[in-house]
Amino acid sequence: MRLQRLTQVLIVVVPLLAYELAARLGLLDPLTFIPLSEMVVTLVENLADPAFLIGQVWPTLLEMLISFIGAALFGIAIGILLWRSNYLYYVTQPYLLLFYAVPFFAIYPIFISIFGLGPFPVITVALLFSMPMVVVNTAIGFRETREVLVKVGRSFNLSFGQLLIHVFFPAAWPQIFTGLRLAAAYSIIGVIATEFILSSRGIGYTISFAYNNFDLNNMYAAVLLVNIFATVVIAILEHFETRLHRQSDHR
Amino acid sequence: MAATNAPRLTSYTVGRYAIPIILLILWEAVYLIVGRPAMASPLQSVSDLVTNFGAWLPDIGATLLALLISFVLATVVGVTMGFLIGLSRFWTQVLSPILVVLYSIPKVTLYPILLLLFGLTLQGRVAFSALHGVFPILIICMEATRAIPGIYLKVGDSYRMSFLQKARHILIPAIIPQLVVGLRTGFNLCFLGLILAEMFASYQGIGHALMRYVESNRPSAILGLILVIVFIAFFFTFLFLIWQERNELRIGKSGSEVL
Repeated sequence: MRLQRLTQVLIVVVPLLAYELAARLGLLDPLTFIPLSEMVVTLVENLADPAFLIGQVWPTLLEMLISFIGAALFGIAIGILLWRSNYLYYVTQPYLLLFYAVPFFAIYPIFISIFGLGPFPVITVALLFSMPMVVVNTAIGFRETREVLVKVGRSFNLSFGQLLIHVFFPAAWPQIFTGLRLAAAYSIIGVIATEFILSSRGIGYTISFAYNNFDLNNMYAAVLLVNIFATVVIAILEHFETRLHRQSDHR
Repeated sequence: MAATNAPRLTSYTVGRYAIPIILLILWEAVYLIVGRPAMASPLQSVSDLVTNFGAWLPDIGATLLALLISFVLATVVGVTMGFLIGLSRFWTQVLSPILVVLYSIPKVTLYPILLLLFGLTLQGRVAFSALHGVFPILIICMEATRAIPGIYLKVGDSYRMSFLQKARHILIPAIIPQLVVGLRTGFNLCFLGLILAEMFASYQGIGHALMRYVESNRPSAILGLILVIVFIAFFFTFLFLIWQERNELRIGKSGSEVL
C-alpha cells in the first residue's frame, strides 16, 4: 500500500519536475512552453486580482454550479420516472445509450443563434450534457433495490413515501452518487468547452483569448487553474463514492 | 444495462419510434416560437442539407479522415498500454486513480498547447482527438485484462504456451467483449474531441463549417450540419453495437454496460 502511494506520487511529481528543468534549461521551445513555476506565479497573481475573480472565475463557477444542480434535479426526477414506469424505461433506453455517441457540443451554435452569447446557452448545453448520466444511474439504482429490503419495509406497513425515504433512497444512493460524480465532471467539461469555443467571458474564454494573443503566461495559468480545480473536485467525489459503495456492500 | 425481452413488444416498438417523431415536433415547435432568423424548421434544414451536401463534402471528408486516424491511434496506444498495465496487479492499482482523473479532466483546455506544438495541422487535431479517445479504451482494456481468471493462464502453462501464444489464444479472446464497449466509447470521445478542435480553430472539417455558419447566421445550415454529425455518430455506433451483439451471441453476455 505504501509502495503504491509512493509510486503514484513519483508518477505525478517526476514528470512535472522534469518539465520544469527542461523548460528552465531551454531544452523546450520558449515560445511554446514556459516553466511550471512561472505558470503557478501567474496563477497566484491572477487569483489575487479581484477583477479576474469577479469577471472570469466567478461566472464560470456559477455556470458550473447551476448546470450541475439543474442536471441533478431534473436527472433524479426523470430517473425516478423511468424507475416507476417500465414502459418509459424500455422505450428510452436505446436513446440514453446513443446520447453520448453524438458530440453534443455541435448543438452549441444553434443555442447561440437562439439565445445570443451569454451564460444561458453555456448553462443549457452543460446541463443537457451532464443530465443523462444522472438519469441512467438513478433509474438503475432504484431498479436494483434488493427485493428483501422492500419486503421488510412492507412488513412494517410503510407508506410509499416512507418506503422511498427509508428503503429505496438509501439503497439507490450509492448508484445515484456515481451519476452525480460523473455529472459534476461533465458539467465542468461542458461549461469550459462551450466558453472555450465561443463566449465573451469566463475561464474557457480566458484560455482562448490568451492563446489568440500569444499571452503564454495567462494561457497556461488558466489551463492550470481549470485542471487543478477539476482534479480536486473529481478526487473528492471519487473518495466519497468509494466509501459509499464499500458501506453498501457490507450491509 | 442488460437488455431484457420487454413484454408487449408492439407498444414498446411504437414508443421507440415515437421518440424521434416527438423530437421533430419539438424542433418544429421551437421554430414556430423563435422564428427566423434565429432558428430554422426541420424542412428548411433538410433542404439546406440536400442543396449544400456537395459543397460540404470536402469538410465531411476531412472530418472522417481525421476521425479514423485518431481512432486507430487511440486504439493502438490504449489497447497496448491497457493490456500491459493490466497484466500487473501492482501497476493497475497504482495507475487506476491517475487514469480516472485524466479521463475526467476537461482536456479541451489542452488544445491551445497542441496548437502551439503542431500549428493548424491535421496532426494537431488528430493528437487532440486521440487524447480524448485513448483513456476509456486504456482503462477498460486494463480492467478486462485484470479480470481474466488465473485458471485460464494455468491452462496455457500446462500446454507450455509462449507469452505470444497465450496473448493470442487466451488473453485477447477473453477481453474482446469488454474491449468492444471500450472501443465504442473511445470512438465517440474521439469524435467529440475532433468536433471541439474543429470548432475552436481549424481551416476545415464539419466543426469549422458550423462556426462559419454561426458567423454568417445561417441556422438552417447549422442544423443541417448537426444532422450530418448525428448520422455519422449513429452509423459508426451501430457498427460497434452489431459487433458487440455478435460477440454476445458467440460467447454469451459480457459484463455490465459502462456508459
